[in-house]
Amino acid sequence: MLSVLNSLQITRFEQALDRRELLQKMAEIAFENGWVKEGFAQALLEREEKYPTGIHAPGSGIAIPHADAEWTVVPGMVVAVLGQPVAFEPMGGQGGEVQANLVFLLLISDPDDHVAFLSALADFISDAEKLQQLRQGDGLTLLLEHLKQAGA
Amino acid sequence: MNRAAVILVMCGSSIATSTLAAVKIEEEAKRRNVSVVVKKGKVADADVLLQSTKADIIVATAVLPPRDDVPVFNGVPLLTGIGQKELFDQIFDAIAKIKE
Repeated sequence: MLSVLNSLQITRFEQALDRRELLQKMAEIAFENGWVKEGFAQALLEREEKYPTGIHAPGSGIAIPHADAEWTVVPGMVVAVLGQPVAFEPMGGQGGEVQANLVFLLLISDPDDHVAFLSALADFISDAEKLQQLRQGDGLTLLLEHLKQAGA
Repeated sequence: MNRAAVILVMCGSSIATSTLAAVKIEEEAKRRNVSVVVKKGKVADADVLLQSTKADIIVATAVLPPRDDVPVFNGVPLLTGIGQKELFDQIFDAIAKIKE
């Protein structure tokens, strides 16, 4: 089993982007790294429209876009730290539009292999202070430490 | 009812959020000393899954229309911790009622 931590990339976007542009860019990063199959971007965009992933997290807006497992070649995660928030529809239809400051693109092949990672991520996005630190920079070390401690 | 309550956890793709929600529910069930069986799936397969799992309640992190047959709970609080305690109370109250 490959750890998600071996394929983790964080990118900061300062420019104004809409949701489609952002997801396209994040999907390109994943594809260029060889983590997803060709066609992933389209699958990701379609899934986000059908099952939105915006979450009103403590103190920050976040989103956790993902596509079906079949698109993943190497399990990993692409994180976008956004200088200007990007609007996502709320997951589960709750709470109105989410102005996302952080976006976690999840590349999961078999969820049962990555339970520790997913729970560690849930803890991370429940923590207002950690989310704020990730937004302000030096986030990679922080996120990695957190995920490692949780045994991801 | 003598058997463990069956909780069906569903999201859009049955990859990330249903896995997270399932783990949290299992942990909470242990804490409360309630035996549950947690199954996962996609909201698109709700009808088939309900039949095959004989689920007593549904927790969904994607939009699922309310149903007459089983109670449906929105599972998003399990991802952020916001409103999680209230949701757990509602879920385990519903299970207790079923078990009566």
